[in-house]
Amino acid sequence: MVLERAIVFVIDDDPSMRLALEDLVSTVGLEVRTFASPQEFLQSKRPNTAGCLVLDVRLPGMSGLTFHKELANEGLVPPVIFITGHGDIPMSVRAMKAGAVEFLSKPFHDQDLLDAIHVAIERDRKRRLEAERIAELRGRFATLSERERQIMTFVVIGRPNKQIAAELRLSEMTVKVHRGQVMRKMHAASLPELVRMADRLEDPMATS
Amino acid sequence: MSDSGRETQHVDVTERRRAEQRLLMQYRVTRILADAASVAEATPKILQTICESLGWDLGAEWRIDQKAGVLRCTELWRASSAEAAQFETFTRKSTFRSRSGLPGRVWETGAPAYIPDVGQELVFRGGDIAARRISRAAIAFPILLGSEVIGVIGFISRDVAHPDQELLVVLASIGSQIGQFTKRTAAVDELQLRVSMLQNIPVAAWSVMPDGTPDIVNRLWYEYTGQLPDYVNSHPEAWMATLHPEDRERAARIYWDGIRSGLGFTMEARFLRACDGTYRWHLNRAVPVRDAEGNILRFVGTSTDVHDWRQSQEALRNTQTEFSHMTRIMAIGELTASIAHEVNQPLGAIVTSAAAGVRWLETKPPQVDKARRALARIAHDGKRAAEVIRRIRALMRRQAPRKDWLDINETTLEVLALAQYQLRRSAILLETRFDHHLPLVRGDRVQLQQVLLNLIINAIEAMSGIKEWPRELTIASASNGPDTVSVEVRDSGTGLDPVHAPHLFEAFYTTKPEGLGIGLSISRSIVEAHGGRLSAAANSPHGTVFIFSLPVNEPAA
Repeated sequence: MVLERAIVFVIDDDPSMRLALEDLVSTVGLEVRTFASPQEFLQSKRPNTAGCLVLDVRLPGMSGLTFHKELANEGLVPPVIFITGHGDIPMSVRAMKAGAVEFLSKPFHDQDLLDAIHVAIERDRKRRLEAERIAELRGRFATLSERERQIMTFVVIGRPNKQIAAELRLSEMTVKVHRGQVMRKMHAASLPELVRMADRLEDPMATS
Repeated sequence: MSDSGRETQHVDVTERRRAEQRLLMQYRVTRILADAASVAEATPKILQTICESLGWDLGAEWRIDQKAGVLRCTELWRASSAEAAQFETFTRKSTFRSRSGLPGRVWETGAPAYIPDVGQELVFRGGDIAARRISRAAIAFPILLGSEVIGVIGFISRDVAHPDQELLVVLASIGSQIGQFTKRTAAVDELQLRVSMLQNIPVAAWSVMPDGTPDIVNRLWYEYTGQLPDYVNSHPEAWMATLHPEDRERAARIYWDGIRSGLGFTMEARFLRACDGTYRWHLNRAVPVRDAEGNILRFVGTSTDVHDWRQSQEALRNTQTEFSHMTRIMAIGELTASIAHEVNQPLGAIVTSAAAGVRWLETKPPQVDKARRALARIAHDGKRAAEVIRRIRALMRRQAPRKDWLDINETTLEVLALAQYQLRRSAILLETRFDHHLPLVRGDRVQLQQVLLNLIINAIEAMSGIKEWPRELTIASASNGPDTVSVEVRDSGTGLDPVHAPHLFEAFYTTKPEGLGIGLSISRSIVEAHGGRLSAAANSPHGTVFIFSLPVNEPAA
């Protein structure tokens, strides 16, 4: 698999398990970083690359599930794969609902873990790509003047220029000029494309 | 002159007859005392002999009643005359204080005395008219033991008689003869009492000659074994026949070792009880009895039936072992999650490392070095899993207590390894403060670990509801002086309720809804069986501290 850089973060309090996981994941050429506790993970400097978390459900200090929730609250939502020594169904249901990619009971099948890691990294990569695009759109949106933003709002809900001009007490010509500016600054080739961009900017998920 | 000569001759004859009479009387009294076994048997015969020899009507003996401080009539003999019969009644009831009446006077002076005519004087019973009317003369003498008066003997005669000095001397000598006899029989009585005590003592008692042959065997032994005195006397090793066949060789060895060394012996052996044909355990002890020069005269000993005691002890021990096994199982049960985790952890690592190893070998070219490292990890984790299982098995097994030299820190760490996960899960901060220069203690590793585990589990439970302050468990070891090592288990839990504190170590006392109340009581009995102490105190500012101390013994050379 020749892909761009991805890091697998392993948090497990058992040193043997950390070593074994690190070794297993590195057999498929992925970069691995191991941590003994969530605190250690949070304090570490992490490069801005795609990745996923492999978490023991029961961790020193706080449970893996609680930790996952806290990460989500802080807006850091790397895809998570839970592993546990005492997998029980209610716990795995909660984990999956909370957005876990996979829930594996120790001892697990190595391929299952590696597959889950790949799924997770792929998911993260897509998420990151989406986030990048939205960030770019936002950047473009930020270059618009107050008037241009006003006009864009009317344009994307399908108001004709004449109506916009009446609403804003402007000449139709002035509206046309601003509208051209909006299309240019937003890199929109057509009206439908500008509408899609506006949708994405308004997506609450994208604002996170 | 002739008159006086006749008179003299008459007197001579009378006196000779009288002297012969008195001699005979004395001889008879001596015979009576020689034949009699007790004062009670001799006295009536003596009173009768004296009365008959001297032709007197009534004789009585008074002995000193020390408690009442009076002379009390103890024996009486009288002739068959009606007058004497009348006199008997009140003489029997008579008592005299010192100096009152004739017996009182004799008691006080310690010398014989007489009253020639009772008509003129109070005799045996002061102021009694009947006495005055019937009696004519009275004589009394003391029963002497050395110079001490122990009783008085007195006689009454209808004839007016003037006792001569010689009679008084004879009577006085009879008095001291009776005194001596009294003393001798008292000693014999005492001896008999002692022998009878030995015979009836509620334990088989016996004495053995210095060469080991039986001497005296008490009644209880004969009753118990059904053996007869003749058989025991003629068979020096009769006791061996009643021994349980399995005990014979050992018992004989201990017996003869004890006899030959002169030290005596202590041994437990089973003897056959004749009444039901069962063998019962006895504790047999013998000690030597020596003369002033230190030569052994006898061995004296006892055989005590300790069968029931032994059995109840054994039952108690079994129950205790059962209980301690139960608490151990319970403790293990509470730790199941922890143990599952402890075992699963290395297993998970093994499976993962194995998968990684296979993958390293499947790459092209195979990464043998990396595969080798994975295999090394597998071996290491396999040993770790086996170690966890070994520890659990050791805790579960019901073993006879062993005495090993233990490093108390190491012993404690092994328990902590089992409880670690439970502590983490309960969000308890563990701190260990070990003194690393402690001497070894002698004890049973598993039992002491059980005590520790129990204390740690109690601590975890005590802290489970605490949210207002940190949950902290501190385990510390220390030496208290040169001969004690102690371990402290300190928690920041709910602490001791003063109501429960005094009952903390009682069996079946519990403050937990699902508790059996045997953990701490067993823990304490384990610690005490090691010669140590287990105690509890309040911890500051929160919680409880349990401390157990163990004595340090120097390793045997």
